[in-house]
Amino acid sequence: MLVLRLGWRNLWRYPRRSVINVSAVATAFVFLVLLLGFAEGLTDQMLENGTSLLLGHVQLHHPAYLPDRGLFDTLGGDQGVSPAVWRDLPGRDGIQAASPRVYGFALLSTGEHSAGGQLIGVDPLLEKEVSRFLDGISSGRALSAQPEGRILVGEGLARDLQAGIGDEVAAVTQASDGSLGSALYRVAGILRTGLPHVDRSLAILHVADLQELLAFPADRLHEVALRIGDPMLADAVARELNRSLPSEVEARGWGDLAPQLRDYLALFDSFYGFVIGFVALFAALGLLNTMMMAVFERTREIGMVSSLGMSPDRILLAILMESLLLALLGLVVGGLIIAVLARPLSVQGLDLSRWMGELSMLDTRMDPVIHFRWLWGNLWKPALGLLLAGLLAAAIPALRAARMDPVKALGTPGEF
Amino acid sequence: MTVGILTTIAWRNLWRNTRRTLLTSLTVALGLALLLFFLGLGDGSHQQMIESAVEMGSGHLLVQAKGYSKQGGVDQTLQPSQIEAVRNWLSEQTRAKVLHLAPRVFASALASSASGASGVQLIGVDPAAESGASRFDERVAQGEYLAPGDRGVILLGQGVARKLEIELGERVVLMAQGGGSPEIQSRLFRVKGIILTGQDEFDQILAIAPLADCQEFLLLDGQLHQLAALLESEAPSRALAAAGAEKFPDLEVMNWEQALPELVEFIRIDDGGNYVFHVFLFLLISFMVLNTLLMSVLERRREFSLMDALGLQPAQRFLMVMLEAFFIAVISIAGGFLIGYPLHMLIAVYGLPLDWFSSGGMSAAGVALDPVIYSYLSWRRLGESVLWIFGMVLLLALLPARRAARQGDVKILGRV
Amino acid sequence: MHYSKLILLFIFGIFQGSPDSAAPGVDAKEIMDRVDRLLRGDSSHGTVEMTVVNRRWSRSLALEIWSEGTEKALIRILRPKKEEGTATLKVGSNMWNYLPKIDRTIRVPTSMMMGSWMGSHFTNDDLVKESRLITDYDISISFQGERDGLPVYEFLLLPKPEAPVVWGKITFRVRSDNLMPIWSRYFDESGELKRTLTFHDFQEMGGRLIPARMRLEPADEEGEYTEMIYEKLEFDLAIPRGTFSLSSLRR
Repeated sequence: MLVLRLGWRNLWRYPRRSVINVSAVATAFVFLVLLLGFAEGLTDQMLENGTSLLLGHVQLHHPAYLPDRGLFDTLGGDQGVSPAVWRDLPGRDGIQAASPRVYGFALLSTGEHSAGGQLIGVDPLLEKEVSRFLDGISSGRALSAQPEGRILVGEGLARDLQAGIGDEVAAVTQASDGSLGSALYRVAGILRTGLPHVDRSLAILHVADLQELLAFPADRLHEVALRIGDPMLADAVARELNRSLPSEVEARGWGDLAPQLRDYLALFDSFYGFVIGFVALFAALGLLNTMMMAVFERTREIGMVSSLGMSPDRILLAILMESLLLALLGLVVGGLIIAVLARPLSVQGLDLSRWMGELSMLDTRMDPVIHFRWLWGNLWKPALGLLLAGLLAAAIPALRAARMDPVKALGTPGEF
Repeated sequence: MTVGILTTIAWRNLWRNTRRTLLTSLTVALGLALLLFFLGLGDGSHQQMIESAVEMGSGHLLVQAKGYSKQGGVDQTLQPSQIEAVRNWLSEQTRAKVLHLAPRVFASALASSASGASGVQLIGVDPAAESGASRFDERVAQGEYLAPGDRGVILLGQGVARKLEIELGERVVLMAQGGGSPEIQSRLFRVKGIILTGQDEFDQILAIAPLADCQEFLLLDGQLHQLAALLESEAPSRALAAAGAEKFPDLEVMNWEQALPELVEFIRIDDGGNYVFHVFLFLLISFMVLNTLLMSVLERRREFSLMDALGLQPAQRFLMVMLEAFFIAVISIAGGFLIGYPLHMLIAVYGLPLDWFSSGGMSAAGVALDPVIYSYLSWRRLGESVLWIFGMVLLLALLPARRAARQGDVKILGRV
Repeated sequence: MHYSKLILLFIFGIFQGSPDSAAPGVDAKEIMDRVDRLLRGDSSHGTVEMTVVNRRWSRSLALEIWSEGTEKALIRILRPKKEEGTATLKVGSNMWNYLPKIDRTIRVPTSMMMGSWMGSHFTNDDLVKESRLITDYDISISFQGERDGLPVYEFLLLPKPEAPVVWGKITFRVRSDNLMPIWSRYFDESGELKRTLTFHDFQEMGGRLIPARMRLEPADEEGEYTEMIYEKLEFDLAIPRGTFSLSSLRR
């Protein structure tokens, strides 16, 4: 206890020096935590951008549907599934929304021009809760909630078809009963996803319209996309769902569906970890510098105390205690700053568009606001690291001074 | 007292306490090294994406018939006289050296084998010119790349080959609409190689065949859809494209940025993220440096008081500290270079393998990310970083310098 | 005839073509030429029952078919009611579908040429491809004699070097007494059988002996087939001018 009191008293003997040291610890702490929060927020953002375009977090399919997307591999097989199977999912297991989809390939034609189109049938209201690709309408209107024979066509596809808003587009396809299915749609809007190869073939219509074109009854669906509260839990949610889903319906998480996205995020995560490791090292070294300076500066003082008969161990302990207190104080100050910044940065987020200017691609592909995410591990790990760095910084010069011949130490210039 | 003498004093001051000087410089130097390291990685990965996009077909400079990039019709060709004029114009250019000039034709075609069919994007290339201009020759997973003089052979993307269930040497029939004719043309090719770019959207549609075959097949005698130039360096491509567009008003002359707006946008977004990170890093470095500088001035209160007593004016003391800061900045920048530049060179030459962090191929904005990042630092980036660090140290030194100027407390001398 | 350029003929009507490719197969070619003459008319008109069976569904269509030479054909669906009036016109290498439900005529693009025709195992390309066996293949007789109690020729067709055809080999068997086809088999280049076309129910129709039923079976889909049965067929009639036009397609 004596050591603790001694350390505390020493702290206030040179308030300026202490303030600088505290500020060094606090700065390092604040920046590391912010950086980690930013990185987590960025990962979330990339995941969100990657899953919100079309993927969703979890998808239900016929087990054989992917990767070939066979027309007949609908949920529940040839019998289809009752809508209750997916309509009742939101609300359980953190599932927020479910959107039914039907896929089909059709020849689209405006008479003069024709092109192959990848058709996706959606329920516009439900789809909006799961993905954002319906938001990317560069001109025209959205689909209405009821099937009205309206279609959204990708920008490139519209160009190939020479089709504008309000124009009639004929669709012809091999329907599921072997007949040549056909229908006329009116172009409601032009879609821009930002992915040129997608925009050149994508066409969206109401799920009931596409089911009619393909000669499917209403219970034949290729896919149900789910949005869940925490995308990181997608695999667990999928596993849980698979326990209760009927046969020939399988749930899979986004990582399973888009392994490239998972790889990319994993890579980003570990790469950023590596980068932040470097920054942490730098912060620790900076801290080491100020702390070491402060203790070196006191070589003379230490020499005096030592000549007065204080044992080297006690001296070392006192200095370490002082550093510990400094570091703790720094962490507290830093923690307060973080506490103040935490909410605005995570709730309002950091708007990158301020630095990047207008980015048209952001319309659909990327939200420019990064919402920081705080994890406990990202708080206590830097704190512990900085504490250790602080102690180490004090220990090096303190050890030296404590072992030094007091007379020599007293000869060192310095103040106290 | 002259500035000359002050300079000498400042320089000597630095070496009176070598440890303090080195510790301070080390903080700044490590900061600079860190900044260079991250700038190099960020710019390097972008540079690689550009190069790989350029070498995956876009070239630094593209010349096409007016409207081809929007419409892409088989009839929108460069006529032999235009091709000649463009070739002559490029060979006269002094500002940019053209390394390779690749003539190309494109067509959407249907490839079929005895077992299946697949839509393909056919590229007709001159094998000799193309292997310099693009990297397809390095992406041959099976078989061989086209050789000069080859006729009647074709390279298929792996996805196409899988759909056709086809092996090397087997027959594939291509059908496409020819130029100036409503009739469907068909032509036999034999598979010479399978291409794996690692990007599904390429591998599912890619087909590459000799230019002469494709011109015959598509009834495009002597005509081209595109001339792609690979320049010695990317830098003059924009100016060259502008000059070309002016010289050939009836053609499309674009540099890679105009040809790949999505990539440009992706890089801007990524730069935005990096920018935030660099600002963080820079602020952190500044704070750590400020702490260090303050600490080192604090330590010298006695010294400044002594100087005050000896008649050194506040302005002179201010100048002296600023000069010290200047020297520290110079030393640190030299040190930062000594640490950071070799590190950058190491990564520029040997690369930082991303598979240390993750596994699997990756792509962003449709351009494959190499699994190895090579650091890239332009002179401009280097200059900017140095200036920023330099400015930062001098700016931060204002605070301790003012303090040194103010410290006219003779009493301090009285303390032993 | 040509009950074929259409569906059969694409394989079979085939044997016209210039005699310049002479040489080793002289005999074979001559016989094939006679087979061809037997089956060919300047024009034809008939009705066909087409049955498609695959593992998910089976369906039957009644078709009315006109053809003229090897270049022109028109096929219209008569039944079922739901598809009545759906029609396909082929002129040269081009093909159009008429869809009564939306009252639109749509040209079949190159990219759909390998797609199924009306859900059958025939592709659009099968219908469109000019009969070019004699120009695209070297033909030789690989067997002559008795098989299953019938006197037959067996022909071996190997694609000529530059011929734009996907098959590595075609074999087929023809009765040598009346030159009626029995089957033809299509192989890929590694020699794997890809599909088989068989001919049955030889009978007189429109004044000629023809196989009234034929059946196409893909080799890799067990149990699937497309079968066409001629109910009525007449040859060398005067087909009204304008039959093979987009306006008559819509009729």
